[in-house]
Amino acid sequence: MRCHGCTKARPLGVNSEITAILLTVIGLKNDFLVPKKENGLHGCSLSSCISRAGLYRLLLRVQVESERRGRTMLSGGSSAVPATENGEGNGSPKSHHPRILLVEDIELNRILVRKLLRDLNLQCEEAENGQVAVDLFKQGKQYDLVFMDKEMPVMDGHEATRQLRTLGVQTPIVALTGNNLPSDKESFLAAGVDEFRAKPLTKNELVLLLTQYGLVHSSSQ
Amino acid sequence: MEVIQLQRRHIEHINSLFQEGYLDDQFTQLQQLQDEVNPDFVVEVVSLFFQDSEKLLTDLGRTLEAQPVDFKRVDACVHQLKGSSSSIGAQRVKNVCIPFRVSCEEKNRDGCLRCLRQVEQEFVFIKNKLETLFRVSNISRLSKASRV
Repeated sequence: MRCHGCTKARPLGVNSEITAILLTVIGLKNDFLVPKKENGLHGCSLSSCISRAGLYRLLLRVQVESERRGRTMLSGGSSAVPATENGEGNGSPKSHHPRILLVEDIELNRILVRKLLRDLNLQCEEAENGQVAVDLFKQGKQYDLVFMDKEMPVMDGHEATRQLRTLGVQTPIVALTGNNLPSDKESFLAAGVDEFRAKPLTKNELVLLLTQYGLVHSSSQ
Repeated sequence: MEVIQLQRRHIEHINSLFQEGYLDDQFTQLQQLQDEVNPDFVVEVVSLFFQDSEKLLTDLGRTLEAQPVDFKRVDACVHQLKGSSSSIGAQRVKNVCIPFRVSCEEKNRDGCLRCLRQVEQEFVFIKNKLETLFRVSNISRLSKASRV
């Protein structure tokens, strides 16, 4: 007997211990299918194959919203969702400060992105090449978003991205490059980045990106 | 009156730099980052660009004079110059860096030397223009302050 997932899931959302994620092939535009957020339900569309990065982003948004509502989604930590900085995973609420890693060799470019982020009340950690970025992750550092330049000394952005994905890092990586060539885009996507943007980023583009990843509200412009 | 004339001169100066293609929209983005907390942000960033670029141009000249030419090093310098000029909106400097990198890839020393001369010319021009712009802007600011 077939039944409607929303109907079945709504009681779960009322239960404050459980956050349900609905998977649907139809998509979320139909109001009938969109779960109400106040019931603790979040939707995920499977109209095309969901990417690992897409699932990660959804889980991150769910965790942020759950923490805002005074509960954690997972206890004991999970490889899919970044742990809190103090390693708390046992239900105590904690405000989520976005952690951004900027991987860029040119100091002037780092200054500009740093200023853009500061104007949005965000801070970032900086790595001057891909090797430094990989080492940060190997040290156990975790981030909500990585901005990755392409051409850098010691280790370039392609190789750094490949190594991070091999390590199992699922943090969204946005490639930033001065060359907007299709071949550049393809090779960066093949290395494992989630997005590709031409440098220099304008403030509007940065806000849109950060909003997309749930790190700022779109009214932050 | 003098302040108004200075401000007008400042605006005309900037507009001409945009119209003639010396500056692009990225310079506007840079200006928008300046605020009360960072009132000299543009001057500081552009000054950093000048200092870094002068070092890079000196390094480029030296590297291209050496035998054999280390084209990897040349390319690395041009990459830096292209990146930083792009970030401050120095469009013409950035544009010369593109064929410069092609010459590096082709290991074409003469092509690189030609591009180096061009990029030096464009750099000196934009440096003079921006320094004049900052002087006018500073005088205008000081004049306004002295009338308060």
